[in-house]
Amino acid sequence: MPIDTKTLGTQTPETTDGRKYPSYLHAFERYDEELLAKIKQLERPTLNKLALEAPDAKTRSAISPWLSSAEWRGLIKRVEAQEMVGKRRYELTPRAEKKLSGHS
Amino acid sequence: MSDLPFIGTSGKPRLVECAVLYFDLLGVSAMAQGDNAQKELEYFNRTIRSAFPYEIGAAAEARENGAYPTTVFSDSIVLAVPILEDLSTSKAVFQVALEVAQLQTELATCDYFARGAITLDKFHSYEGLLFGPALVEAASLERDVAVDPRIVLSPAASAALLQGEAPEGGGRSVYEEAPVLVDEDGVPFVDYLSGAFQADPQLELPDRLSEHRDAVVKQLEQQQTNFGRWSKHRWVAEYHNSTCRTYREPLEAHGGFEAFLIDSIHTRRQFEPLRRLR
Repeated sequence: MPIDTKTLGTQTPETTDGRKYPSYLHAFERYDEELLAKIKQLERPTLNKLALEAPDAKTRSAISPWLSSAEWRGLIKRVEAQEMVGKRRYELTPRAEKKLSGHS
Repeated sequence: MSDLPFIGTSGKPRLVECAVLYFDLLGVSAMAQGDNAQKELEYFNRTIRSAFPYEIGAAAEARENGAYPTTVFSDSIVLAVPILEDLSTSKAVFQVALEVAQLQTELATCDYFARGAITLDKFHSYEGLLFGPALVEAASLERDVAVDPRIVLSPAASAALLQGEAPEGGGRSVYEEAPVLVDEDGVPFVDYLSGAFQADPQLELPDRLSEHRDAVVKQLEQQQTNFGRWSKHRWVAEYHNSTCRTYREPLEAHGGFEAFLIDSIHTRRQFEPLRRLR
């Protein structure tokens, strides 16, 4: 379900069907700079690839919830695997590119 | 030799504090023995490998970089998050719960219902060798406590979740809203549908609930002459209907939550949120 674009940039993004951003995901927003830059650098990484590249255990454990948080906030989008047993990949949205370049 | 989580600098295997997930999939053993075993294998392989976010097995790359070890043995799956450096136990348990919620949802809609446990204790996993009290406890909880297709949390795992850090300025633990419910027997378990709905904003709620309903109804119909198996899927039906009520509001635009209920059985079970007792 797409995110309601009117709610992007607020503290509580919502899907168009009315589901709300879970409050526990706020705790993972602190990884934005580091992980957005990593996604850009790795060019459409999988979750596994991001975990392998994580600098420490704390960051590694944050990757999966951070991906959820970033998707809710319209910072990343997924690229579904073409192969039958392939893994989902992630790429930056223009919104994230803007954030990374300091025009948030 | 490098200092890997489960192997010390001297090359000795070691036990590490981990959040460990262990579960098995109902009905896989029967599928493996049936006439359609080859076909079942192909479906099982495709489903498991697509649903799992991490590589399965002990790939050298994963070991050296410390990614999470994941092992699949027949119908049993083990995943461990080592608690290293400044990673808190609450974060490790939370991560496992959130990930397994998404995995369980994927698997359930493909007719694989999971039963297992998340524990917090010492564990060792290296080159296919799994060992330690965390796994022993998880296997015991899966067998004796979970009973129904649910992934339960050990007392230590649920305590860790509730003791997670509070947001700045105090208040409740950030993980009190994690996708965990408490069943009527007082046992906390992963609220997998809500976990998937919370973690994945792209997920189509009505579609996913319909797929889940159809998978449960199919099992209820197939198991009508086997009360043991039927009753396990009855539990899933209770859980499904409870979830439909929870998402009453978003479902209004899709014909109301009633349209998604499993109405072939009478459901009455109540699930409570996981809360710290004051």
